[in-house]
Amino acid sequence: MRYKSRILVSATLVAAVLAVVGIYTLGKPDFGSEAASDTFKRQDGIFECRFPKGWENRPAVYSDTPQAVFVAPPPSEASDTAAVPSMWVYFYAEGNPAFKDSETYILMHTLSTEDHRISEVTEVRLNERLVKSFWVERPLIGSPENTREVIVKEDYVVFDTDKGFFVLGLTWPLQEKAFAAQEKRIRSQFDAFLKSFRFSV
Amino acid sequence: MVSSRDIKSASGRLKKFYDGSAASREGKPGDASAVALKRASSGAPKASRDSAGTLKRALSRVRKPPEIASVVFATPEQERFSKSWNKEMKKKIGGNPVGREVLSYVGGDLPPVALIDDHEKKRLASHHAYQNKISLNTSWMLKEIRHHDPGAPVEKSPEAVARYLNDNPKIREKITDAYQGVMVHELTHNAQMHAFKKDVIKNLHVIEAEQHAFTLQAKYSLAEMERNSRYLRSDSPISRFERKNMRKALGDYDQHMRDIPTRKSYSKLVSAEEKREKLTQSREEKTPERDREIAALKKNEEFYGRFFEQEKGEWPKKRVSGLVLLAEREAQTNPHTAVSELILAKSDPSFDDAPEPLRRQFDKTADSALSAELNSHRTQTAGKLRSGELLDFERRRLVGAYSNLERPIPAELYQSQERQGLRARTRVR
Repeated sequence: MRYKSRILVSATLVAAVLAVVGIYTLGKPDFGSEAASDTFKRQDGIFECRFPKGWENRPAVYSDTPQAVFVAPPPSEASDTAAVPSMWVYFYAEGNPAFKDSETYILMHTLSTEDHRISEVTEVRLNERLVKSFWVERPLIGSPENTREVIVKEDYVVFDTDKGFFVLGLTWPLQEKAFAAQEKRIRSQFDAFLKSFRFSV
Repeated sequence: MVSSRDIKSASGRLKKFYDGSAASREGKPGDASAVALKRASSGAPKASRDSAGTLKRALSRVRKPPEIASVVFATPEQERFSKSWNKEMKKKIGGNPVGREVLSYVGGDLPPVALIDDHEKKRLASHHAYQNKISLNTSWMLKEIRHHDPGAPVEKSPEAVARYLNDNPKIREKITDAYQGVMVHELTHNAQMHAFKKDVIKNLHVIEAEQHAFTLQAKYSLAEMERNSRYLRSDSPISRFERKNMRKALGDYDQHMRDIPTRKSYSKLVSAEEKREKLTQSREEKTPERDREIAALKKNEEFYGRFFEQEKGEWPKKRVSGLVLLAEREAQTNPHTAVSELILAKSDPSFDDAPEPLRRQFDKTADSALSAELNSHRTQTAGKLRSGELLDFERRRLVGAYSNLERPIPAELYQSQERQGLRARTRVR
């Protein structure tokens, strides 16, 4: 059963990756009719990207990692939603204390534990660059805080540069009905986010 | 080549609100930002008056603060529960270096603890600054009771749960063991309240406050695992959650912190600096209240800036020992996860420099977890509980785990492979 689901998962992943690659070959990033976008540019010039309009950048305070974490606005204060989608970027420079290299990062996120579902790691070409892609389903932090465990699905794109490696991704709250109708649009925005990504290190 | 140090120094010159850089935040003597935060006196806490009363008076012209509850406990039974709970907690938390630091801000007595039915927000625990109390959700407490005493004659009501815990000190002792991390999180919010004294107002709840509380919760649990071999060994719901959060914090701290704004309840929290800048640039009329709010935010920046600056780079150093301690606790009950934790520990850049006792502990834990995994594999194979394909997949995974952890691979795993090969050849014929 698990083996069959792995095969199904791999097939889905390959299809999704092919779709992304297809979009990449189209050229310019385009949030276009789907939604407006804002541009984020780090002042040190390490990277820049576009992200959906209205989303807020909420990076971690306690980190040396150059990063951006764009968080979607909650549907409403009164909604029963426990989690919101986010798109994110991290740059791990050589010699950083957290991860030796991109292989270690991927190992860390794809090791099977009791509460994770993990896809195969696939290598694809993205904007003339080889990247590694996988997804993970996992519970969010602070599950003790809620009687309902919040499960998210995270899509990861990892690639090496001359000076370290980047990780880009999307966190999607799997059980949130309030966002279900927006999934297609937000996934298309994630594609545009990936396409718009530029870096200098 | 650009190293992480180059990136750090380049970033350090930038105006940024997320890295807690102290360089840009070191105020001059006399600046509001340079004011050292006061710890609570060791005597009885004066929170109600200092933190809530003064604050209410100070801010009544700006916005109406929440009502201060006049009665914390609904019944004497619940009051009795609060006293015994806090007595045990204070003793346990006070024995831990991280806990002691938190308690030094909290003061003499811990804030009262109330059992509540939080149907609306479904939180495990909450800190209520204006009421100077901590609330614990009854439904979670009940799950914990049922784990230790499956036939406990207790209904799902705060009163019944309080009575049960008052009458069963041995069970309460086990439950306070599991709740230590949760309490440290809430007590950190209480410490923040004391540290900022009258500056505590609802709209000063910044994202750093939650990151600070989650960080201290993880640090506390790690320190407690180091000093107390029984800590987090239980398989109770709260212990499992605490271990999960530890695993996430140790595995990828950036991801752990990213989870905070991804939760709806925290998604609107901004940093103190961002909040202050917005307030400074706003077209609202300049009033003493607004200036006070800006100064309070500046003080927040100073406090968290110092804290995070001190913590930078410290966490990754704890990864190997933390993962080994976690794996040791899960080697028998959850060997699959324990093996993953050990593989992560071994992949860490600092593993090669791990001291000899830690290496020995690593090997011992690896043997224990792998042996539990092998036993499970044997049971599955003997009972034909899974298909041949799945068994072979598991066997290969197990061989990989032995190899990754550099432990001798049992011959039976190869023999099993040969049998599989023989069956495959038989089928071909």
